[in-house]
Amino acid sequence: MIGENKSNIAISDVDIVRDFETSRKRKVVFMTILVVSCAVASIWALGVGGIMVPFMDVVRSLFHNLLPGIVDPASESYYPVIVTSYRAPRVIMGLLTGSCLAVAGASMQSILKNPLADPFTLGLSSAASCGAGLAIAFGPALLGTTYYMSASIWGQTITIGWLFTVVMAFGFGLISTFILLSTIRGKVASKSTMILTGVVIGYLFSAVLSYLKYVSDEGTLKEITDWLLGGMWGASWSSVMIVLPIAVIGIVLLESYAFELNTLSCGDDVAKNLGVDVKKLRVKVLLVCTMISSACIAFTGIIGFVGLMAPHIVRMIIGNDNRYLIPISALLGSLILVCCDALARVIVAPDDLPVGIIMYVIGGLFFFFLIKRMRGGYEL
Amino acid sequence: MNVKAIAIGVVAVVLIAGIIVGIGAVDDDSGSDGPIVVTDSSGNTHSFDAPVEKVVVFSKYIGEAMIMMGANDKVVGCYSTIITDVNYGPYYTDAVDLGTKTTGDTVVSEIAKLQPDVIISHNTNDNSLLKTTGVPVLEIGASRISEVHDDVTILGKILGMEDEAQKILDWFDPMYEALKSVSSKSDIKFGVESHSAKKLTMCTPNSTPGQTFDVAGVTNIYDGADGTYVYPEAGNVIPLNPGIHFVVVYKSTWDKDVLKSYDETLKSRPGWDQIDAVKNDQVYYISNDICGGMRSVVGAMFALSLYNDAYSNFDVMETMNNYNKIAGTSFDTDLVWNF
Repeated sequence: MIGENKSNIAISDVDIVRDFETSRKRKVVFMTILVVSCAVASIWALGVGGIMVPFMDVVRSLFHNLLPGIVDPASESYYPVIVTSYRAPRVIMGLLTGSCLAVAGASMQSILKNPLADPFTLGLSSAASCGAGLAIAFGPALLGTTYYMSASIWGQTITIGWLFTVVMAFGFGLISTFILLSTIRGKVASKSTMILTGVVIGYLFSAVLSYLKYVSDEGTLKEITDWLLGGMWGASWSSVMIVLPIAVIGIVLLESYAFELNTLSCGDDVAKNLGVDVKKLRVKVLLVCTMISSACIAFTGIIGFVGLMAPHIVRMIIGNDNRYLIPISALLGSLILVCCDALARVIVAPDDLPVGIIMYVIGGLFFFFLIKRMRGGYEL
Repeated sequence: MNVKAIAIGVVAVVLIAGIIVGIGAVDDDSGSDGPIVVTDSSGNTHSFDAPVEKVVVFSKYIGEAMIMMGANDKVVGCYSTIITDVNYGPYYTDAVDLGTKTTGDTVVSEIAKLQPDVIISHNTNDNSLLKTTGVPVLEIGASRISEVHDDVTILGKILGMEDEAQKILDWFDPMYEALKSVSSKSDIKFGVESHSAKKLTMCTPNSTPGQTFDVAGVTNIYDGADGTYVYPEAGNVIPLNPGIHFVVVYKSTWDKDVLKSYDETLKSRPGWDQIDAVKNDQVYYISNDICGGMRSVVGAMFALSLYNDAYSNFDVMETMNNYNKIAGTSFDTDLVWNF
């Protein structure tokens, strides 16, 4: 009997190790596929738009200046400008924004144990929208002619009005989080308290935005709506330079919390017994999520759904291990946003559609399809 | 009776009948002896027993027409944008500010208090709420050059100020007729941009400025595009290579320093130095005031003068001075800039 038990245990151990290896292998394979897909999609997206640039010309545009003796020049003189000055920063901004929103979504879902949590659950979206709306509606009166003047940042000329909108959106995004943190200070930072407070904050900022929209004239309303629908058209090398370090530091920080987030998935009490300062963890993760999300949406406007969709798809495929969930969500979020932005450029060309519209349609349908496929569901 | 006598008789009868019919038509039109009947641009017929005295206006362009006809004191309520406009504001100090929309909840109650004889609104506005007030809603064109003649004529009739309306038409019609006589499209391609602090916005020939320049025979780089505006990537304009580029700007931003700064932004767009308009210093900043409404003929004539030698002597300032003389206004005359 004893020998039989030992044998069973041994078989069980082998199974566990084999399952673990299989699971790990699947995650690595999935991650590799996404890395390759992101690279391919990015190169494809460089050629896609109102002006279609053939693949070879994309390659020539990128590498002719670096290797003039080896790579021929592009067949049209304007291809290199379109590829390197307009599309490349746009694609990189798409990669950064997609990854930041997806990672923030994954982390928020983990700390709040709420499958509907994303960077905007705690009022960030409404606050940033409100900040942008205020800048658009009152900027001209507040700044006078300066609003329409331009400034040079790292060699890129941008209007003060646009810069003001970016700063206001970013600032209001942060303000919403500080209001949230100050409201729950001294209390137990339970997930339900945080969500409820965030929802209330969101409603307050939404009320201000609704009033702004109500009193705005046609032109202002159009600008606010454009911003709310989100888009990569404001991307430039200077915006990439600002967002890149914030995104990289933020994602690395969140990945460093992955193990603690895994512990938290067993429940607050278990996590506390295992030495995790749950309240501190929630505040830290929340702050980092806010920082990276605000930095991105300040430049792109509201891009919903990616923070919800990417982590859910990843969870369905590889499970809840945050060590893999965070980087893989980043890759998938990037892939989704870059592809959707490319579609936004061609779907009603020469018009450049707000990517938010595409995100909601394609992302929503795909998400719905996946939920139907995963009838058994899954747990956070 | 010989043939000559019969012919004289027929001619006399025709002349007398013509005079009678003619007199009858004038009486009908003037409204002095009967109701004033007009059909608006939506095809709705309105009848007024007497010239209107109290008017509510939801159109900047009609706000200007009222000033030019000396009827601004008949406007009891109007859009905020009319009251806050640098040019129009001084003429509307007594008008009630009705906000920026025709659909606001307070609009109906405000109109009820004002008790106007007529509400004038664009046919592109949502006028359903206004129609519930029981006040006739006269729907006119949305500032388009092709609609100006009819709109001013109707306005003259309902106000009983046909002579004043005719003065405007005497200034407008000859230029419009000249524009309509242009039979071919320009060889030079035009880019028509709407000034925006944020997203690049290009006007198609379906937009109000686009239509103005289209009448002038301008070949728009977005000819054939759907919709009124196109929001392209700025890089997409490079291969379209406009020879002349217009930037339509709005009154609130009509400041030389602002435009100069915008010009620097425009010229620093990557690759735009390859565009002929930029290379040849053919980027013009044009006030929206002459791209829509009654003064749209000025914008259209200016566009025509840039590519058609027969009109190369067209002078914006001189034409605007003549316009100001109609009603003694002092609207800006310096409305086109090139840096």
